[in-house]
Amino acid sequence: MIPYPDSVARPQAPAAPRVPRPRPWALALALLAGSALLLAGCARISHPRGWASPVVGEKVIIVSTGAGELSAISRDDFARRWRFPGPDDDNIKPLGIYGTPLVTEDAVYFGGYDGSIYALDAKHGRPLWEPFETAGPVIGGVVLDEAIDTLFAVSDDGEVYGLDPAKGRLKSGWPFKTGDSIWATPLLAGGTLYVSSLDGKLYALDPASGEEQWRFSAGAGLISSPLLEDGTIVVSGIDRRLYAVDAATGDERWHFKADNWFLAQPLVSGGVVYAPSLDGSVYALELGSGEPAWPQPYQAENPIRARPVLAPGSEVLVVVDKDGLVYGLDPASGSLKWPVPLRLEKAVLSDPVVSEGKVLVSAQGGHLFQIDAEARSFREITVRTR
Amino acid sequence: MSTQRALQGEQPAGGAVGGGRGNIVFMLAIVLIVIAMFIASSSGRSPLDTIFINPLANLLILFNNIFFDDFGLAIILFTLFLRLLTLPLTVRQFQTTKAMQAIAPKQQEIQKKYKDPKRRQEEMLKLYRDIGFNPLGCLFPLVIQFGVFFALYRALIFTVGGTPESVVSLSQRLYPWSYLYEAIPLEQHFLIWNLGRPDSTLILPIMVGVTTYLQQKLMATPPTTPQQQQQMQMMNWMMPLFLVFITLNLPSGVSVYWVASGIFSIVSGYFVFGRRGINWRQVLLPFPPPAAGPSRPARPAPKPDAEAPSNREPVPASASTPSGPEAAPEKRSRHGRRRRRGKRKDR
Repeated sequence: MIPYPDSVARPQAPAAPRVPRPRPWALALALLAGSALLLAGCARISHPRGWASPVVGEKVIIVSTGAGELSAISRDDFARRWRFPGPDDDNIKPLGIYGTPLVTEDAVYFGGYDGSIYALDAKHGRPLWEPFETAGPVIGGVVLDEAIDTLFAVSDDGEVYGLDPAKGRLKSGWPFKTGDSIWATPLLAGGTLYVSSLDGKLYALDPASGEEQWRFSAGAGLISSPLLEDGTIVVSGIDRRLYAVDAATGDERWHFKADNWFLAQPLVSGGVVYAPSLDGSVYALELGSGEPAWPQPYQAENPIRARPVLAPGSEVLVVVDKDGLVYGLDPASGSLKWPVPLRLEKAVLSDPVVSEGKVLVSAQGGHLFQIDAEARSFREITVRTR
Repeated sequence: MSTQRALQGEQPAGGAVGGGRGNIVFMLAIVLIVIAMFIASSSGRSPLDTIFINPLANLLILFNNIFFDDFGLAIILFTLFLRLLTLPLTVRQFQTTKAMQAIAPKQQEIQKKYKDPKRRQEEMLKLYRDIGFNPLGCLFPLVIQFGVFFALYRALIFTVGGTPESVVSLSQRLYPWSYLYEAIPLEQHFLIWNLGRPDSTLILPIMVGVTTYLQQKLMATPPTTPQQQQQMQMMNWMMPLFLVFITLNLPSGVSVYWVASGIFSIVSGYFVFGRRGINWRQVLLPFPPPAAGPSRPARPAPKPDAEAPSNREPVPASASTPSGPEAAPEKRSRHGRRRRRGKRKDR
């Protein structure tokens, strides 16, 4: 077959019905629009969800049932008594609740990631006063000194606030300014307020006047809430160390370094510090010396943010990791008591609490679990709405 | 004169615009990435995290520590560092643009001369082969830039996400070095922006749009058909708008990266093209002058044997010199008038 030169016209084929050709620019436009929608959908900013642990009261359980949402659930039938913010609280958005709420007979106090300190009527969940606003997100919890009638709150703005619990107003002598953000709940013990700050210092303050008594300087910012046992304060820093500090003088007694942060407050029982780390290990250390109490730390499958608890009556140390695996350990040796971990299949970042002989775990997304350590089983609590 | 010979003078220093070497490097990079991803996934880790996001997050924190604990400054300096590392690729991309602009008349000539699409394509490929044009050479810097853009977005979610949950996630990504651990949590504020949150002032998204627009105009290869010109004009608008839309929802830190990267491209374009090689008026104008509008037909090649670009300096599309394809119609119209007048005189 002889090819037609380009200059010679080819014989024309019979005219075919004209089919509209897809325009390339329309295709490009569709692709761009599609990608924009896809990316906008994927473009997720890290939203605060909160990890407040539940508080078991006489008749109700106060628990965070969602990001920035707090509910009172009846202990008898798990029916919701109230929820905050309620349907009428359009302008109130605590965003995320991290610190454990403080529950008294009449009121519930907590801080929100929106930077506000809230006080609610314990019976109906209605605000008692206008939220007290700080200049940064509130991640730590609040503590109440009933002797001097002062509510203490901390904020990411680096300040410690002393408030009137009845009116939500700042008391004289407060706030106390630290050098960096405060993420940890302060500790009120023995007439002293201990505050750990990301400026790397542990402050001992006089709750009445707000005056500093002493300070301990760690190598790096302090992230966990301090705890006091036998005159020793245990606190952790972002240098992956756990510090033991003399509560009277502020002198360091010992420190222990892990492979990652100790973000949870440790548990102290029988002179042993049980400290979970984000490296997935549970370390057991002698409170007096900082020496390991177990032959080796227990290695969980995932990082651990939640504080361990001792299950009542069964001599089991219950540890919950970030992915919801629950381990039953022997507190004396650190070996597994349960053959297999329980699988909650929900992310757990909040501290479990003991209630009625069971361990109550609040998982991310508002899921509530009850673990029976003796039976090595669990059940999810379904919150009933009235 | 063959096309190759004609274009030899326009080849950028260092040989072909993007030859076999470029292909090999590109392929090698892909093979290495695939191997690394395979190793990472076989060790039970997310390959994307292990290869891209985690190193980037750690590098960003390292920059933050070195440069005065200012994360915004760290992002900018990190961008400069990355762009300097990929500078040879960027320069080659500019040189490809230059070369493409230089052969534009030849492309138009082929478009006109060959009606058969297959033959036309063959001739085009031959032309590209002659000048050593490699489409992958253009693609590689863009792939890197977009890859970093998305990996950086993911890394920023963890580094300046700011929430305690993001700190927990970050703890699993840091390399075991106290210097990195102790920098957490990072300072989120830079000038008026919170780097972990979208910019509510809209300043950064607008800056992203403007820098993307300027970058595109600077890098534009000349269209060979009116249809192409129309598409290009639309893309000049669509891409910046697309990025503005995206950055409205992204952490401001990602926008800071994109703006810094765009400014770097514009400045390096300035150095590659030279001060006189860029017609800033045309770059800055939202629409091309009427002579170069899409409704106008492309400039016909004067003669097939003219090999017009052979003795001319390569210039970008936006260049003011007469050989620039976008500037060509203006010159033609004046020249055309003179010719017609001359013909009348002859009569």
